[in-house]
Order: sequence, then C-alpha cells, then structure tokens
Amino acid sequence: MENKETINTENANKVKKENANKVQKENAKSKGGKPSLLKLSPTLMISIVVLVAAFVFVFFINPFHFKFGFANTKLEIEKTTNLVTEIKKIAEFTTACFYEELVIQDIKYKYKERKIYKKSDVWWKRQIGKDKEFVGVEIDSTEIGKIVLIAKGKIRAGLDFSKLTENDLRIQNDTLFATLPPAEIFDIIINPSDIEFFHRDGDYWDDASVAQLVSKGKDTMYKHAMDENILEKANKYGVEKMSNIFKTFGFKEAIVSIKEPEAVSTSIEINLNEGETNTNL
Amino acid sequence: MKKLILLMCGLALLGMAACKPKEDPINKKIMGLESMAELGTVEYTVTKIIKANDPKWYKYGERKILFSSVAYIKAGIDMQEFSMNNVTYDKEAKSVSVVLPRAKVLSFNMPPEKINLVFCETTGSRKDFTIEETNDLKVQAENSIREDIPNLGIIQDAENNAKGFFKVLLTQLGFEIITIKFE
Repeated sequence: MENKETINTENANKVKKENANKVQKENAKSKGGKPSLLKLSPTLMISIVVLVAAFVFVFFINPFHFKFGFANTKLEIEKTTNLVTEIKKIAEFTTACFYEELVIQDIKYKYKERKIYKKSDVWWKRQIGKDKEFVGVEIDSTEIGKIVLIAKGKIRAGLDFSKLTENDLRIQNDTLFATLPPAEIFDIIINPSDIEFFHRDGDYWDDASVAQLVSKGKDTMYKHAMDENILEKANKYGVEKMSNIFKTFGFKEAIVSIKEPEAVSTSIEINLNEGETNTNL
Repeated sequence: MKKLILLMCGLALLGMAACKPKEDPINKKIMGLESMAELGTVEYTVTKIIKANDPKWYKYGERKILFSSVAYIKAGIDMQEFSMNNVTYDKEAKSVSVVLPRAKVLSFNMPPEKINLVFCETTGSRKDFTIEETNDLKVQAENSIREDIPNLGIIQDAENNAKGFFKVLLTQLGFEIITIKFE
C-alpha cells in the first residue's frame, strides 16, 4: 500500500516537472527565442515571397534591360578558322595614300499628313456651316532617331605594274625611257575597327543599314580624294620614285612618263548624298 | 538647419548635372594625302565565320549570332628607303645585286559591306544584339585575322613574288646575272 503511494507521488512529480519545462519553453519563445518556420506570421511570409519574385523578375527576366555590374561581361567570338580562299599575284606600286576621318550620320523621320483648310469666300457656304474649304495636304516631319558614326578611312592609289609591257621600257645609250601605266585607286578601306559609334538614338538601324552608311562614307571619301587630285599626285610621286629607282641601276638618266589614260570607266559608283538621309516610316 | 544644408547640396548637385558641357562639334574632318612607295606583290583573300553564343546563367533565354566575312590582305616591299646602297652592279658583266627590305603587310581591308549576317536568334527574355555589339564582334574577327597573318605564309609569298618582279624588270633593263636578297 505504501509502495503504491510512493509510485503515485513519483508520477505526480514527473508530471509536475514536464509541465514546468513546457511553461519554461513557452516563456522562452515569448521572450524572443527561435520561432519555428511554420509559425511565421502571414505578412512576413508574403513579404519573403514578394521579395524572391522581385529578385527573379529583375535579375533573371530583366524586362527593362537594366545593366548590372556583374553582368557586364564582354561578348566574345568563338574560335573559327581563318581560311585563305584566294592568292593573287599583284604588282601594285602604291604611291599616294589619302587619309580621312569622316562623320556619317543618318536621321529617321516620322511623317504625318496634315490637311489644310481655308475659310470659304462663298457667303452661302458660310451660312450653311460649310465655311471650310480643303486646300491641300502638308507633310510634317518629326525626327525620331539619329545615328552618328565616326569612321577613319584611307584610299590607296598608285601604278599597276602588271600592265607594263616590254615596249614600255626602252634603253638608248645610258638613258632609260619608261612609260608607266596611269595611276588608279587600289583600295578604299574602312575596317570594322575604324568605326566608332558616336551617337545612337533609337533602334532603327541593323548591320545591313550600318554597312550601307559606311559604303556611303566610302563614296564621300572617294569624292574628297578626287578633289585632292589623288590620281595626279599618285602619277607625280610614281614618276619621281621610279626615276630614282631606275637611276640606282646605273642609268645616267631615266625619263619616266605616264601613259595617257584610256577612257577609264571606274567601278566605283558615286551616289553621294552627304550628311542626312531621310527615311519614311 | 541641417535639412536646409542638405537641400542646398542636393540642388547644387542637380544644377551641376544639368550644366554638363555641350557635345563636341562632330562635323570636323581630318584629311591628308601622303606620298609612299610600296610595291604590293601578293593579295590574300581570307574568309572567316564570326560566331558568338551568349548564354548567361542569370538570364532566361539565349542569343546566338553568325556572320560570314571576308578580308583582303596585301603584302609587299616598302621601297621608301630604297637607295643606291641597296644596289651593286657591273654593267660590263651585265650583273646586278639588289638588297630589298623584308616584305610586310601593306594593307588590310575587311569591308563592312562584305560581312553578311547569316543567322541570329534571340530567345526568352534576352534582348537583341545591338549594332555596337555586332560591330565589336566584327572587330574581334578582324583582330583574329590580323593575329593570324604570320601563319598564313603571305610574307614568304610576297618576297618570292617581289624577287620574280625584279628579275623580270632587271632582265628588261639589260642585266643577265641577277641576285636578289632580303635584309
């Protein structure tokens, strides 16, 4: 009987202890102890979800194309073979080179038709309210985009010695008579690395249109080189240089002249509209 | 008081931002014409595929681009410094010895109008390639070809052709024993 009583008191003590522990734990929680994840307040949960969604939206989807510092990695080409497709033997004696740094720009306009009316002179039309007479249409243009490129180019000109014939060189005693072919343009060069995109406002240009602008820049450069008399100067420098070179081979005198140019039709089409071009949209 | 000072500083900063210097005039042109004496003896035509793939772990979607391009490289001899010192001759023996400068690349031409877009794809939330980006890819391709020039064999060809050219020229000038060297 006594034993039963002692067991009951032991059990009662255990229950008391457990209850006391529970109370202690609850007190600790209410004083700022670690809360369990399931018991987060709904507001906090919603805030976290919203933040994560915003992070994913801004960094991964990035609809407004923000630029982030870590994302500014340079786009690089993959290694590919540089394939030689043609080897040509030439004999181009370049004697003049024209350099130019030019500005190429293109402006896109949006055109809008505007009908013009004037007040009618006819009195009865005014009486019935038809006082406006259609006169015509005026077109308003608004600038919507602009691109400005700066391109460094060069034009190489000189004498094509592959056109020399046996009859063009004649020796008489110690004098050499040489008749050289007339100067021509060998190259008009603007490489991709020579192009600087100075300003661009709008997305109206693609690679093909930029190439067209560069091509137009080449036409302009060609015209400027011609204005600078590049061919005449190439002829002059060619005669001077070749006279000196011929003299190094022991001729007392070298009389060098330039062949009369045939009716040359140049392959470069000049389609020059310097400055702005208008594009209908 | 502190608030007032902060407000004034803010306004001053705004004012400084608004008063940035005007853009430089862009219509200035620099040009010049110079004489030279370069004998181009060989022209190589080089084609290159320009391709770029731009995956980003932090962006949804990808973008790819592919161009075909062509470059023309001319090489030969710079005759600017060629003088009496480079030639020894004996008219009676009809012999001549010429020392030419070593060949070098004289011109590199990669016309933008001959760079053709073959393929371009942008998926997901990726934005299209800008013309600045595509030009940068073309510049990289240009540099890649330039770096590869020593491996193309163009210099050797240029020297061989220059030798041939001078042999024909000097034969026409009456020489029979012709020696051509490069220094």
